[in-house]
Amino acid sequence: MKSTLETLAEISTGCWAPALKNVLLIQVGLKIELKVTPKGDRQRVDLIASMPIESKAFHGSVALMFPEKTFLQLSNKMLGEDRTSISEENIDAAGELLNIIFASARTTVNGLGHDFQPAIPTLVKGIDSQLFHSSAESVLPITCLCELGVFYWESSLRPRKP
Amino acid sequence: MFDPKTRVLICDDMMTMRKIIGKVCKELGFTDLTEAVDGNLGWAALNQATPPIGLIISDWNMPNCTGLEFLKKVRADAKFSKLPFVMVTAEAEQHQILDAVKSGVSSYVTKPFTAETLKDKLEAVHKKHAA
Repeated sequence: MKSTLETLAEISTGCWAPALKNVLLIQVGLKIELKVTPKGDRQRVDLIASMPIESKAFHGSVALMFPEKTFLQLSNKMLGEDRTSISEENIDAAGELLNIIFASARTTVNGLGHDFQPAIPTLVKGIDSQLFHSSAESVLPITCLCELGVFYWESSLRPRKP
Repeated sequence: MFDPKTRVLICDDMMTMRKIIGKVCKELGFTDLTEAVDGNLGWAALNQATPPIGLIISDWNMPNCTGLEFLKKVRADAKFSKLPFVMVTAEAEQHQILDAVKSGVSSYVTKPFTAETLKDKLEAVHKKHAA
């Protein structure tokens, strides 16, 4: 039987990563490169879009995390705007991107035998925003590199108690 | 293609997607765009619009009244039974597409999409409805 971390790695490689690359390319016109984030090697993030994962076997979450500068460049490119701050006018671009990535990957995830349920994104904006995980969770942080800067993808899973 | 004067109703709970669809519509020459954030407000806008709405582009997953519920309402009313209705959604499961087709959707666009994809779908819808 696979460990939770092995399951998370399988989903990250086979489902989240292709969806991330495809959605950023088609919806924003950005090519991205992905690598596992070394511990302590993350820039400050100012905006987090996250979604809960609920299935028969697991709880967990997925999140997109942006430094302000990267988010502004990315949302301006996506929306054809020239905004200089994160505001009501552009903040939901982070949620919409996460929503599309999650929905396009969910079909593939569930094809692996899971039953991940649809979910709604939550947004957190603030200087040096953090996403907290319990010690029971397996967490896989991914760094996304593109011409506009760096941003992060993080997924986590913990087995549901029987 | 649609007459650029056609009034377009864009129905999506996410401002980002309304902006993206609106941007593509403007690129296609449409100038008269109306927005709603769920199917209930979309239905109200549809009934109150003067001049009337000539094309609906709607999301599927919205609070209060989903895109599918909105589509069913529209198709159940004889005034709107032939109105072009395009669903734009991140959900691409086969049974959902079938539900939308059975309920009378004119076309179906899966997110992520390019401006070119939406343009092609709208052209195909126009041809279908003009025939």
